[in-house]
Amino acid sequence: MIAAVLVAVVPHSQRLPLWFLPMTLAVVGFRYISQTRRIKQTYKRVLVMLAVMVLLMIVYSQGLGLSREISVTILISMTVLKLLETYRMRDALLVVMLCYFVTVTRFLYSQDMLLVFYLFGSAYVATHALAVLNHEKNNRWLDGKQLKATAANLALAIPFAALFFLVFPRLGSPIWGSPDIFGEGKTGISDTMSPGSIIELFMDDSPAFRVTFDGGQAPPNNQMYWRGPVLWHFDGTTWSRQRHNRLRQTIDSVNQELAVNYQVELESTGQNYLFGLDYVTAAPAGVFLLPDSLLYSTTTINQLRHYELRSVVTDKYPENLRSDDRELLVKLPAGGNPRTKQLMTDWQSQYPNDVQLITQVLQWFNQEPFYYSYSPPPLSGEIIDQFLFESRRGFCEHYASAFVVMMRMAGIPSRVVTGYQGGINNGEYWLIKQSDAHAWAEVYLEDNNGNGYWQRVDPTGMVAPERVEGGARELMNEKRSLFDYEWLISYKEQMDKYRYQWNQWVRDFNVSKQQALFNAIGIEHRDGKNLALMVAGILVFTALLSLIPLYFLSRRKYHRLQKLYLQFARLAKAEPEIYAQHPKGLEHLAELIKDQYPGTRVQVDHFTQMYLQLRYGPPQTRRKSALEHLQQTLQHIKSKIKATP
Amino acid sequence: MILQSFKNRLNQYINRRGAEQLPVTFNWRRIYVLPSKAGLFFSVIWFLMMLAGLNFNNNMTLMLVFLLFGLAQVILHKTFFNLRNLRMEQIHAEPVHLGNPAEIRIQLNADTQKTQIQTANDLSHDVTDIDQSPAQLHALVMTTQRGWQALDRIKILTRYPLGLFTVWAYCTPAVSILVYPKPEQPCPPFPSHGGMEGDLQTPVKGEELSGIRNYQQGDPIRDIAWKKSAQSNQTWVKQFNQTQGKHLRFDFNQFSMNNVELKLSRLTAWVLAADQQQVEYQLTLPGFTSAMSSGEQHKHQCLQALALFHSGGVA
Repeated sequence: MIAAVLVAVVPHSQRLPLWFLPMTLAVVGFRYISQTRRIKQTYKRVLVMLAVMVLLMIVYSQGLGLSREISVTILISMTVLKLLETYRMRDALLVVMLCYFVTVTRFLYSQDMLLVFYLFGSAYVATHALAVLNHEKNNRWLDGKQLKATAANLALAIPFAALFFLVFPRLGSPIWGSPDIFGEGKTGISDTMSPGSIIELFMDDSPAFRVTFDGGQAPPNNQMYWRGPVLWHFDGTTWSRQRHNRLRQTIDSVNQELAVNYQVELESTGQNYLFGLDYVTAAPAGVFLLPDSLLYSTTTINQLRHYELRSVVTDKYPENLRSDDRELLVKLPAGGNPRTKQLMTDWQSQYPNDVQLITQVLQWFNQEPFYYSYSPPPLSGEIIDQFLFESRRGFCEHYASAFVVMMRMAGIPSRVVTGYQGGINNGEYWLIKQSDAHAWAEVYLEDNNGNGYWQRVDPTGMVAPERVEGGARELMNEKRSLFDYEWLISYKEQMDKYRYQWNQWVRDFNVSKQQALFNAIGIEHRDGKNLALMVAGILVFTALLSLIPLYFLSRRKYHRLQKLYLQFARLAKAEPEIYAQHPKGLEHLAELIKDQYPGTRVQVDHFTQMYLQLRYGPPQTRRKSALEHLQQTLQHIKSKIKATP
Repeated sequence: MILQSFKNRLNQYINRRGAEQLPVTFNWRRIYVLPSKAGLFFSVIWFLMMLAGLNFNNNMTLMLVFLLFGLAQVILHKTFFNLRNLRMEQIHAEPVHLGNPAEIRIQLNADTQKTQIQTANDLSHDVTDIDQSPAQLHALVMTTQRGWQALDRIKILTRYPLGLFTVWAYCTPAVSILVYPKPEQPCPPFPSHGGMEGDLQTPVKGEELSGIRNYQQGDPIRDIAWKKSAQSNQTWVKQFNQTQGKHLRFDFNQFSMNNVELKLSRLTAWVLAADQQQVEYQLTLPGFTSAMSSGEQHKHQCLQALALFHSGGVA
């Protein structure tokens, strides 16, 4: 039972306050010692004090209020503390049941595939604890037989679980609350960018989202720019978003050759941003398409989220910039970065054409000794000046940031776009990892006819083209961390394939998928009556299903000799009149058979004699060969009977 | 009222088989299944988990919930099959004095292995496993009347393996316990006068007056020390002591008490005391006279006569 609590609680430890695990271990240790040494019960007053103390500590470390964290922490700590006063059967049962519940609360945070081991492990240990508690004569908690029996019980339960999982009626929408209150955490790109903010993501190989392209037609890797938050404002160190109060128009006329349709499965981010290929034509339901082409969901993405998109894969987006926007997009903090300003003023006089100027800047990045590095020296003060003229080491966010500042200095409206770039083809889908996070720039240009458009410019590509061609990993010469091995990464990618399937079939199984399943097996409508019938049917069916193996298990087991006897007896019962006489005893049976089929006399006698010897004789005569001989004799009799008309 | 009549009907139904000759096999027709208290609690927790899982469409939660449901199904059947085809082969009951609980030993057997078979009533609780050889369960039964007391309904139950379900069967075996009368406590002194019935004048040879003691209810009037009693507020009785050998006679008719049961109770106490002191004694009841003897068998013979006096106290 103690083990059950431990197994249920430990996977929570990551989320619980720091003092929690030692406390749990202390309580469990104390309880174990008191169990084995039979120490008297703890005093009630001490317990109450302890409970109050733990409550205070929870409030101290997690604040006051009815949040998910608080409730879960309280539940878990009370479960652990309950151990201290568990000396009676009733309390013990309560603790075990709570263990099941604690297990469930873990799933409110995450439904990762690996947690299925936790699920079964915890269920197994708790069930075993329940079995041991209920076994009055056997108090050894590691009884091999019992361990096996529990495993068998759970194994038998799995088919039920699977069936119910698939067919049990689900709710289309929650009765109360929203699934979002149980968010699964906050990761991914944020809506601000300051030096080094993306670097954490580079270290993270966990999946950001998965994409399935219709018809499997993915655009080339260097065209895959997954647009995230678009950053307009720069305060000298940090970039931030512009809040909009209008929506972007949808793109209606589409160049079919450039259009792709795809489904995205976005891992929870705790934020509202959806990612799509540049440039999406229209927003899915429940999502705003902001003027800078950012997809903004009305609800926080706290669960796996699926959406379908259609994009035109291009680096140009036509737009007539409003004058107030234009003002915002060339704004810089006053008087910063004088050296860069000077450089840009020089170039501006040299290249009056915007396109030429951009080309010059990019060439400068390319030809000067700029390096792509994951461990750039820290910047402070005039960070753009420092970066461009001193350190010259950095990754995408440095280059994008510096480039946009330079453009704005030249009076070209521009902005930083964050998101992901590239992805890995993982079989039937593309996997985009957190480490694929990227930042690039957009500049606003006008063509000869005076029509404005946004042009994507990726200055990182000038410094390290491999980044854009082959993904972030191509550039890694240095290890990102102690555990950064090639095989580990490919192992993680392999795991993600399973995880993808897991998400498809388990984690994201819902009403619509269930409906699809029902349709596939021919149940079209699901009204109340059908539903009730179905549930009843399932219950009856499963009950019957479970009876079958148990019936066979509980059937009387005959010894081989007994089976032979029964066969022999059946020979005599062939005629109903004889059957009615209730033949009793071997001799009587033999007489009946002999009367009926005089031809079998010799064999029947032989059988009788041998049977008696085997059945009642000394044990050493009961050999397998003797049994087989008996069977042969029986076969002989049978064949003779068949031969007689 | 309705509840009471329902209860009566239910009991009638349960007891419809009446007293049965052993052995009795518990087939599915006589097995009852209900969730136990732990099972009910389990179902509450389970229901909460299911609501949470359904509401938030948390599939991992639902997986656990359905796994536990499947588990409960399996356990239900296992518990049922654990009791099914159990045989109650015989019941052995030692005679006991009225008022004491009788200990009965129920012998159970089965073709297959049975685990954690229990019997429980208000007085006792016992568990046993059956593995190839017969097993015994001990139970205590309250005795309510002297003589042959028919055994009440016995409940054999099991909650194995997880205690989520209680599966039980009732059986009223055609077995009776011999209930001796309750011995009077504390044991009263032996009869003041060991003389033969009606022999008022001459005390039995070898008996002589040894002293006087307080009157106790039922003492023969002829033994009262009238003179002494007249001098005080109390009533005194002459006590005779045996000097030669140890022979006691306990005669139902010899002392004057109206209540038959109290008489029997006193006689029982005397028989037990005499047996403990290993003296020879003779019990005389209307229609029964034992030998002047001692020993275990003699005691049981006497006690049985006392128990069954006037057809076991059933009027």
